[in-house]
Amino acid sequence: MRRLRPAGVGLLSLPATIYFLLLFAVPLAVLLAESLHDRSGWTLAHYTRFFTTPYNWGVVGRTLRVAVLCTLFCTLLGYPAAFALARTRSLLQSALIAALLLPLSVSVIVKAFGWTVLLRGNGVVNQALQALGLTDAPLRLLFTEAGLLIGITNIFLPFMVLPLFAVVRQLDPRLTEAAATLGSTPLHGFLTVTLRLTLPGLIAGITLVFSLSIAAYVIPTLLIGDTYQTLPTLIATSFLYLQDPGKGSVAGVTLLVLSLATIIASAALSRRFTGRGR
Amino acid sequence: MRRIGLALAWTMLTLSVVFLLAPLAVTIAVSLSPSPVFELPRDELSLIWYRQIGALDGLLPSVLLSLEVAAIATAVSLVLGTLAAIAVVRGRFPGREAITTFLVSPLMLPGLVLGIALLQYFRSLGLREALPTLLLAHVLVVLPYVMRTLTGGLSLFDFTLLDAARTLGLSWPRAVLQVMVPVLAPSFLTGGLFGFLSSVDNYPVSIFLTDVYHKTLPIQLLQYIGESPDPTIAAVSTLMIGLTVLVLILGERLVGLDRMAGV
Amino acid sequence: MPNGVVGSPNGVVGSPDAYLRIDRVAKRFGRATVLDALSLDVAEGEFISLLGPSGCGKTTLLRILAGLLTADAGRVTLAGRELGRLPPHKRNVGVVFQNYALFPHLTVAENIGFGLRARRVPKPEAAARVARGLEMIRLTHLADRPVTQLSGGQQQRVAMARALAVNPALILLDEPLSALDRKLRETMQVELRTLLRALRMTAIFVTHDQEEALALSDRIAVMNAGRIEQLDAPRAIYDRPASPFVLDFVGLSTTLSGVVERVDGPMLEVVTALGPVRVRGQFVRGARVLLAVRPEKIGVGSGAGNVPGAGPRAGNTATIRVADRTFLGRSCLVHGVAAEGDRVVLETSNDMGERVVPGSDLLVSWRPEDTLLFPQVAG
Ligand SMILES: Nc1ncnc2c1ncn2[C@@H]1O[C@H](COP(=O)(O)OP(=O)(O)O)[C@@H](O)[C@H]1O
Ligand SMILES: [Mg+2]
Repeated sequence: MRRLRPAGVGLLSLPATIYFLLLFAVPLAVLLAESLHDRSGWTLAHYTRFFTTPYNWGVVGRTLRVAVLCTLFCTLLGYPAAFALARTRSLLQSALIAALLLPLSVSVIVKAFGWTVLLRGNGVVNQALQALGLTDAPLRLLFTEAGLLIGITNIFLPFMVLPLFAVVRQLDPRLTEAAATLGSTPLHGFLTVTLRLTLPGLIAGITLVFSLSIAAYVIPTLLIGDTYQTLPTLIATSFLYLQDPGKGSVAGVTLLVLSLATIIASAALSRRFTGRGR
Repeated sequence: MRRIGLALAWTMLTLSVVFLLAPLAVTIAVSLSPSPVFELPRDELSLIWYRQIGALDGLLPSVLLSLEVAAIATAVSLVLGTLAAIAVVRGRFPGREAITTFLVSPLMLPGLVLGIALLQYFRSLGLREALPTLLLAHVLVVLPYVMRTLTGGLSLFDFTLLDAARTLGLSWPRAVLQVMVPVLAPSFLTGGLFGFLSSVDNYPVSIFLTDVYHKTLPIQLLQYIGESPDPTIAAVSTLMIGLTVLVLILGERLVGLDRMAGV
Repeated sequence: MPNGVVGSPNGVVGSPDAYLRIDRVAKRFGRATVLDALSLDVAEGEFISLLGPSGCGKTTLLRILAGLLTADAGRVTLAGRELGRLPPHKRNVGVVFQNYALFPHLTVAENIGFGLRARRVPKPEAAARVARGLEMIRLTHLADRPVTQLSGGQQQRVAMARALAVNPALILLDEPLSALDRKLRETMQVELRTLLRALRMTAIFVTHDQEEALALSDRIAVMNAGRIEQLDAPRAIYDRPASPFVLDFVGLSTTLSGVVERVDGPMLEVVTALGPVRVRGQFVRGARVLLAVRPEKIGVGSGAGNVPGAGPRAGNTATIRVADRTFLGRSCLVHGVAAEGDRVVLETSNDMGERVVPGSDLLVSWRPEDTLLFPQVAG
């Protein structure tokens, strides 16, 4: 760094950038090309075939529906939880952070497996519901949308809480007090001060959870199966079982576009609400 | 109103923690029960399912393959990621932001899409062997973690520390080794650790690149769950939870939980 | 001392065997000339301050001396050895950085011993020297603390001890006290000076604080835009500033511009906004000049300007309108405005300051000998 001029320091980014160009950008471009190509040459045939099939629209709709609901549940649980977490004392806080980090670090497959055990007909959840007298017969949870939503919310909840916690704990509690002395009601104070200040964390959390949940594969596979396909499971079946790369590529490009759109929308939102990018 | 808000916050936090730990707790409990049908242990604990692990076909090779791939990918990512992070933090050239975004973007994009893209790409290059393709692909999985934590760490690093070390008698390379590396160790560790874990856990990229003889651990596990779900899987899962706990304790000792949580 | 010149602090300028010789060193960053053929000779054991506004190139010069930056032109010799392109680790030049640059992953003792370890000093000897360093800065009880837990003043002392532990041939201090609050800064000034003097250490001390430079230095080099404007003992810098820049940068003064009206042997009479002012100097009639008087040289009443045995008309007097007073503690500053808007500032006793009423007229006087004289720069 000393010997190199500032422009020279930039050269250090070349190995990683070239690697990513060759093994990330080019493959994605190849995927895009593949989706626009068949034996006869360039064509939109894969796209027309994909988007004229009502079933595929249903798949896209389900993918978005699951992601929206998952993001909603994560926000409802995670937003208040981040506030409580920020108010705790150091020792309890460390324990709680550990309780967030452990599930985050444990393999998705292990957690999904845990949920198949919890949700089955004679599983723990049903036993608890019956013991509490909430139901008479065991509820069918596994292989239902409800089960899928429980599992997927569980997987991505930490991705909501952690960015929110990072923002909330830097909030100055005096700000809401200041708002109160200026005559604002608690609700008004919350909306104008607290919510506004935590918006960057909220946007970050929502973006993260949404883009992760539209791409979730393991959880739907284990908790709901092939009867309820989302874009990722459709992609996987197209390539692994149907040997239909045309369809799979179109689905892949669709998923990629959805997640890019999420990221771009989120960047635009946070610029709008925080006055700066990223 | 404040009271209600606070009560709500605490309720949600408690719910969240219970909810998050539930699948782990039930897995551990089931693995310790003698019953073969996924029941919580009633009166006695048993290690019978742990003894069954040895009988699982193909577990050990898959563990070894996953560790090998993750270790190599992490080592390569640490080198490439550190160089790139130095470049974007210290350099004064246009496009630094773009390079940073580019190198962390696999974190935000669907892994499955990357998986099928690589599948087609490697096929078009005639590269069909599982191990090299897995290694090449997993660098894309790990490097974003390294890049993200190191750009964070480096932008807080005070480069006059290197000047100080040099005036105290260290040559430039020795100053980097004796000052920069230890001061940035937490970033290396955090990035490396989470990158390593995510490589070991990766399913959506690996699934398209493995073959019958090279199954990574997640693929092998998913196959067990699909074929013959019995509490042996719970025992394996419990061991994996235990390993994760160990890794986190190590990380807490060396780095602190806060930094690992990225907060 | 083998080959150093131990002389009077003032006497070594241009001497062929100065301990540290900086010879026409130049440095540019892009288009900007940051050091402009700067030369400076320093005697062994001397404490030199580089005083100048921020951005004038002080840090750049220190970095060149330390080998952290290469000069575009010029030579630096230290103890008879040309430093040239010698890397920093082979120079034996200690540096105390502005932000201290303590190693955050090491303890106090490990920081102090860093240079010894780098030089592979045997362990027992290194331990003894670290212990002495800790004692010197009175932090023995904090030896095993991480440096991040120290206060600002303690960190500063650790940075000093770390730089001194390797017994450097020269120590460079880049605004080492600027991060401390005023009270602590004054204590540390004394401590630092005593320490360096006891070690007979040759030191270059960078500061933008003129009081600090005046208090500590054997000599002060006042820098401006990459050049040394004046190199002198503190007293001379204050009493006989070589240029309006030095005058303005060091201490307060009243400045007046005027035209030489009459040449009377060694004395000039200059017409200013305050009326005719007598001053000792050599200018031709009609020359445009700048006059300056330090506040403590101006007295209230007509008596202060009297020169013993020179008659009552020998002194300079003026009437000013009092605008404001500033109580300084030991004394009081009186700010006045002359007829044409020139500002006059004088220092009086507190009692006198009390009696001066803002808005009233005040007769002041000063001696011709205390009037500083500069050529008026065009524009
Ligand atoms: N690495 C650099 N690149 C470009 N300009 C620099 C660099 N370092 C310093 N400068 C410029 O050189 C001038 C002098 O800087 P410096 O020596 O740090 O001043 P001082 O220490 O007297 O405040 C400043 O105008 C500064 O902006
Ligand atoms: Mg400076």
